[in-house]
Amino acid sequence: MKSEPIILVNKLSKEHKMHRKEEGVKGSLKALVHREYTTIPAVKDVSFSIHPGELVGFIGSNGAGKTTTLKMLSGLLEPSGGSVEVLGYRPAERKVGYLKQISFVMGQKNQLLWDIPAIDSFNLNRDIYEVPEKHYREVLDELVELLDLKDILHTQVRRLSLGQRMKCEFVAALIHTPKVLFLDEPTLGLDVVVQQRIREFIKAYNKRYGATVMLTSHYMDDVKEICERIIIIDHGKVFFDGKIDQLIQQYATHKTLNLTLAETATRQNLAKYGDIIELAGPTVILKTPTPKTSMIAAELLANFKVIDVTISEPRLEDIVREVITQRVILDS
Amino acid sequence: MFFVVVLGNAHAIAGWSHYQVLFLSGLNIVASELILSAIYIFGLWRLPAAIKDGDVDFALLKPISPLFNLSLSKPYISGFLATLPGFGLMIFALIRLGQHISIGRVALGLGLFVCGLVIAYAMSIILVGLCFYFVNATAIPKIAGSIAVDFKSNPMDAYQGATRIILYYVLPVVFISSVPAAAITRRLDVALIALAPILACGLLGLAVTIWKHMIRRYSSAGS
Repeated sequence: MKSEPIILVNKLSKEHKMHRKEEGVKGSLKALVHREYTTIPAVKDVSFSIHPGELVGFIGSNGAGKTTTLKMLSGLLEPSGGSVEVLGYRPAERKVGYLKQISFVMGQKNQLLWDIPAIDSFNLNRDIYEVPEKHYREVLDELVELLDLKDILHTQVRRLSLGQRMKCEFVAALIHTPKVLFLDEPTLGLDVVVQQRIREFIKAYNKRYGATVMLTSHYMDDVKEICERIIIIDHGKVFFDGKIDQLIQQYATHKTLNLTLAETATRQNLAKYGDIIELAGPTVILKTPTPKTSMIAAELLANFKVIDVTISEPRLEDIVREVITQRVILDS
Repeated sequence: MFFVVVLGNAHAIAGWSHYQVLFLSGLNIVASELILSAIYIFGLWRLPAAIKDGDVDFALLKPISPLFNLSLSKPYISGFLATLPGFGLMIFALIRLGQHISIGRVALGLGLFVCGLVIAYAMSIILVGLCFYFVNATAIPKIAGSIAVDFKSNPMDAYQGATRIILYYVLPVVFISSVPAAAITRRLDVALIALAPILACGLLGLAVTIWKHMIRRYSSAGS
């Protein structure tokens, strides 16, 4: 039997009231006397539910409303409309019982105290979250092992590299073993090796503790490797909510055929097989409808001297762009 | 130094003798350093920038009072050492005063001093709370600092008329140093003794209420 959702979001919306200032000194002086405000919708009627242990990627362009949604779910921002319930709590009330069960890791902000070693920040969080000493030691040892942090625990945070700091941020955020973990671009600015380590860590943590993870990232590799389900949001609206496979099936209407021919072919000869993306001497890249790709490949092999052929799935970022573009066109 | 110069030419300031003023100055140093150490450095100077940059996020996400967290998260420890000259000045002034001071009087002075610190803290919170509303108002801490530092150092009896009403009852900075100093070295009106805890509790309650209201206005910062 499937468990009950632990995150319930219904027609959630958030509007930001922004002060509109005219340019220059004159505009600044005018704003002192008369302020003009505009209301900008950051999130519009967003609805979804998440079950315990799910790994959900929240993706979209800059300003799409991802972080605002996470901030409402964590209790940092009060929604302008709709309802949100996480672990049975209304997050905006920021009840102690709720805050003890969640954590928020922000790729661009640090919760670790800058001038003291990371271990002191961990100890402080142990006291703040009232983690029993035995449990704290067990979790700390496990996290330190998983993230390979043993040698830097006693180094002042300001002396650590960005990657080391981010790993320590994860330890600080997870020392109380939260049930729900909000991650806002956790791999931002990290090198590929640390990115991979963080991804593996998130998956391992989810598996070990059954934590529910909501992740925003601009790196599609994060989403592909960590998440089972994705929610695509743009201009504050949800455009897709489902498994990555579903997204590919539904929206990846084309595949790419990469051919290396023995002889140069003409555009005229190739046009009937699909859209020509590139034709440079013997190298040909064709965009073909997904259901016909195998058949077209077979025809090409029969009609041309082909040295090499590969069929590529579209990249996730291209599919996401496709989804958003299609929906924008439909909406307009 | 200002008081030393003045008292070199006058017998007393508003009825306060040379050594009573020196005691007040000593207590004033202790009060200033304690306020600076425990509250001022982060509570007043850092918070406006933290609000503007969205750095209050982590304080709000912790299962403890964000006011407590923000007030004490970056104490200026060395400020505690800076209270030592103040204690020295107070002891010197008491010896020169040659008065017998009972334990009860010291306890009363200490109690009033605690009330004074609570009043200073409450006033800081009220003023800093305004930064949630006026996000760019980084001058607020400076104004708050000026009010506290400039007016709490003088003997309370020096204030008359409207200034007296303001500094006793509206922005009651005289309760930070002057009232406790008077309780130890002079006679103090019973009404003022009774007023100190009432003002401390009332202002703290008001400060917490304003803070809770203001924190709802916190809009974080874009990512």
